[in-house]
Amino acid sequence: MQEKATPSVARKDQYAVMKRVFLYPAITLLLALSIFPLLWSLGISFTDFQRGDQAIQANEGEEVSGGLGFNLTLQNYTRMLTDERLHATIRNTFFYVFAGVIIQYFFGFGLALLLNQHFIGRNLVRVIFLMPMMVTPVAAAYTGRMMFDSTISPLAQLQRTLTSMVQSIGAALPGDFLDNAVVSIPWLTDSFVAPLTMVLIDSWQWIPFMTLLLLAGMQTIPDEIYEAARVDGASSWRILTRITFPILLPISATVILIRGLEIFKIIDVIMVTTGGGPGNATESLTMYIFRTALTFGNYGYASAISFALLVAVIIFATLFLAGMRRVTPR
Amino acid sequence: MRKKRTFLQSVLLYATVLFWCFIVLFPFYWLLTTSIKTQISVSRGPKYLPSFEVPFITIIDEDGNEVPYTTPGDFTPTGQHWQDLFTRDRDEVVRHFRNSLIAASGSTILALIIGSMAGYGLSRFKYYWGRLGWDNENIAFWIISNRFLPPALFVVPFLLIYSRLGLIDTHSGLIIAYTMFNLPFAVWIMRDFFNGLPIELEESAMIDGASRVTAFLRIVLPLSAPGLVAVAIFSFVFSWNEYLYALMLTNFEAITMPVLIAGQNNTRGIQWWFISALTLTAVAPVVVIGLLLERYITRGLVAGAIKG
Amino acid sequence: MRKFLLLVTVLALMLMSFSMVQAQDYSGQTIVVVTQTGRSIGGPVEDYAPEWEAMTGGDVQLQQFAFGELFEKMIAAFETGSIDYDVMIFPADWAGDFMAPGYLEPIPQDLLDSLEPDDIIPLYADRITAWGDTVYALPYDGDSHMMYYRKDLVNPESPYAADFEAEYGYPLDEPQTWDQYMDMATFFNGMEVETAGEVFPIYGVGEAQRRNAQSYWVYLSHAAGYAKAPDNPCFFFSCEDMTPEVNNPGFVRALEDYIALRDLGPEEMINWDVSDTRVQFPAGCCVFNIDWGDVGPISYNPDASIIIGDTGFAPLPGGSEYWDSMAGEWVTPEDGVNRAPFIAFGGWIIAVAADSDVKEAALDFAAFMARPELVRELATIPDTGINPSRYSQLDTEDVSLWVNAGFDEAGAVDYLSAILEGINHPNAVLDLRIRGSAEYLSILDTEIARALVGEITAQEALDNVAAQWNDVTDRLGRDVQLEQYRSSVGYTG
Repeated sequence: MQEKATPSVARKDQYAVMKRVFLYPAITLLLALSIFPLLWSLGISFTDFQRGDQAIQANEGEEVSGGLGFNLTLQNYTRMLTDERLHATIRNTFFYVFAGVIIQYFFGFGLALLLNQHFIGRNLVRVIFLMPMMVTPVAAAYTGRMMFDSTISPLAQLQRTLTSMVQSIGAALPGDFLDNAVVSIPWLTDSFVAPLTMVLIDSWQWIPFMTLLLLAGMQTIPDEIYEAARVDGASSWRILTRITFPILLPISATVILIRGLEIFKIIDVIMVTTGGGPGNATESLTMYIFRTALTFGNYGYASAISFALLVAVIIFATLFLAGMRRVTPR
Repeated sequence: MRKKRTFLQSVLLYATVLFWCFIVLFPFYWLLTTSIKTQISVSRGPKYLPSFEVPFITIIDEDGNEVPYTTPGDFTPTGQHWQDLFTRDRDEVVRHFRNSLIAASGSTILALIIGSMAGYGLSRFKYYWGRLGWDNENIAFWIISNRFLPPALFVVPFLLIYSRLGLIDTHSGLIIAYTMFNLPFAVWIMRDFFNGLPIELEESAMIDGASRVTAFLRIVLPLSAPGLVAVAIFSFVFSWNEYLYALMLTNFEAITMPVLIAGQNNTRGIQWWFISALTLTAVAPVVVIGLLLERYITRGLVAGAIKG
Repeated sequence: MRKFLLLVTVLALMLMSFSMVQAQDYSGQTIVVVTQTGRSIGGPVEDYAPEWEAMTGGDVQLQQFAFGELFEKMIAAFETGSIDYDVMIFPADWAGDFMAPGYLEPIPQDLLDSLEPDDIIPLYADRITAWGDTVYALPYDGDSHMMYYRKDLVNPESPYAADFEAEYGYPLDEPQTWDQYMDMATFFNGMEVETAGEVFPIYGVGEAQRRNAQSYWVYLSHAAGYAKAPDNPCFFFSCEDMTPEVNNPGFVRALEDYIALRDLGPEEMINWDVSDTRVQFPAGCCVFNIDWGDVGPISYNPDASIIIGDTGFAPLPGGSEYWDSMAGEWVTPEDGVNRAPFIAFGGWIIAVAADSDVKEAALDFAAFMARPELVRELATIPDTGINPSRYSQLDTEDVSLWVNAGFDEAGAVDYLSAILEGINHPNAVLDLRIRGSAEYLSILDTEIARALVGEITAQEALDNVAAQWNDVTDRLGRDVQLEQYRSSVGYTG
């Protein structure tokens, strides 16, 4: 942090005015747009408001209860404890966040190392590597479905080809070994594989984000540091783990936090590829909130879920940032 | 001075690069071929390679007839879908495209201006909000926490406000909403970025008589141009591709490309070819921007992000 | 050219004005029409709006949204008052959420009278477009589930008939019961058969089983035959006290069938909705398919179908026995089949928003789109998703419109009688039309999906559904829900 304007400058400058001028437009805009939605949903999470109630009561000439059409209640918060579907979506979402962040960070880091090398066509390759990020998530999800479909996708055909190859090898071998082997990964239709496929599609799109920011970080590391290490006889692996990685820790924290939060809100990919199935295997929290609020018209319950999660996420993010700050070399 | 790579290392390097290019580009190739497939070619797929008739070249087939030469391939392409897009649906496509452009550029510019100002403020001034006990760190965290909010639920109160203010289905409505989403990220990155710039630069200018605003505009911003470019690209990509709010807050006048793309799945079957053609249409301008600004992106984040 | 077009339009208008009420002048008024994307429902609006505009001077603005989010878009717009929709074309099963709160304008009687009301199948005229006694919408499209099959494979003269009879002990023909349907699907599944000159393995069935799409409708089509008793109008709930019937043995048996079908179709089937089956069945994937009327015209579309003329059309099979929930026992019907066609979805209907500023014009346009001549023509075009909703459309004596649209004569007769038999059936089951139906059905959908992948058994899944349905009913008010359910099935007891 650098808030150390020297006193002489601060006096000349209308410090007190300026500091408001710079920060307050952003604060005002964010506050103006977030305060009403926050209060609205916080308020409604304590009611039994249900779509259509007011209109129906009004239509039937009934006294609208309390003049509002709903009662105050804690039922939304207690219901969360017993809602199995909610618990399943929480599990799925955490899987997406953890698996997604790990895969994307791992590949993002590797690709950044790769792009940090000098090779022919590097500038073009950089843009190519970025391209998935530029696709509309909805479209990326449709593309994912075309890729992972088990009948008409190229991947499915590859699996069929492998199957016949394996079986012909099996036929050549004595005994039953491999004769009936089938190479088939049920990408979208199996409860264990489908969540992973979701992560793969999301990763295809967002690894570039990690790559880009990590690459930027790597380029700030002066060559002299590497050279000094090499003179000392350090191996490449040692340079990676002792120099590159530690220097990149702060930026890593930022990208992991941002990606983690974004994956937490995943919805497009799942709606398009599996609709939340097979079974409950891939439904995400945001999707469940969307359904509960907009499809079922149960805004109170959707708000209650959102708030419980908001609190959880804030705690988690605070701990994460504090933890990262502790391990970051000063 | 760089360590020389062994031959094996070079092979490995290029092989990895090519492999990843394949992973990235194959889906795009698939979109391209799907956009020229007929329904049967999709549903009886997979088909990989279109076979084109080559003009002016004929060959003699087994029966001795002269037939036009066609390149090898496993399906006959059709230009029908692209033609539909640019004739029958032309007005619609143009309208969605134009709106996307307006919403994305508008919110990008706003996020850049407001975000870099706030980022600068958080980097150079000391704030303390006594009543909340918040300092710069807390304020920054509050700003980024606006990205935590669940979009699926907030769309309803947004509709309530917007209909009061007459912002439904307007460009400004969409721009304001997207600015709100882009702002936290812009502030967060720009703050890091300014933290990396030596404060002495502005101070010497201010001692020479320049005002704070002049110093910010003339010295700090030009030095951080690369950072601004990075923020601009992220903001643009996000607003260009956003679906949920575009769907709920717009109807006709201000509706954007992702709504059009998602709309190709209807009860008559998923129109894979239109999805493909539209996706390619939508991604083209962003890729062009990416190509133009590529060198700034990486340099842009260099100074800032590193400090975290 | 322009002048010529104008002339044609004017002539057409003059001709039409004989049959229609004198056109009103709505110049300067813009009506906003909202529906799903694509040609199937909105296409006719695009095509015919200019005609109406020329006639009345009004303007039509068509707004289209993806089907997956159309309901959320429309209901949120109503609830927050943020809309300016005038005319809405939407699926009839959203009636509970749109009609009950009074978001829609009741249709004036004289308008109803002008649309040849006697021609409309009563199911559509009186029940699907109405809430209680008030009619809120005009029928545009008729929708009921039916069965499609490969009639070149499934018929008594088929090369497979002898093998089949030897194995199962009865002749190979259009299945009448779900048992037969399952037998034939099992028989053909994986067999190499000839389709459009190519020999490749075929699957037994191609049914929509994707979660969060249409799978629960397909399941309910199976369930109706086993769980709808002919002498009891109630199906989903008991009309006594709103106890869910969904976990009774009839429903469970149907779900077990539906789960078994997963192995008789492509592996991807669990991820297929009707968007996929409508592409795959005409592409020759499968012997059987359950779907709405749309597949008929698609199967005759040369761009999409390789089984032109090979498609058989039939009403849904029935149960070989059914569960009588009042008596609490299985009953075997005298003729060996309990047919209970499920009128899933109910079709797209046209309504006018109650808070529209241009109600007159909107009603006029709605009537323009729902007029008998237009609807009749639209139903035969493969490009649209409009299916028959009028007796005159199902007239098997004169199928010239269908033949013009590419059907062969026998196919057209077969298709129309299959639809007619379904929607005219005394034991037909209507979709769940009470408030909260979206949530009830979503619960069913989720639990079916879990049972399909073996997370839980059929019985457990449906017990879960029953428990959660009870929760929803209690939350929305049991008395109100019971009253609505009774009136929706015409329970008088």
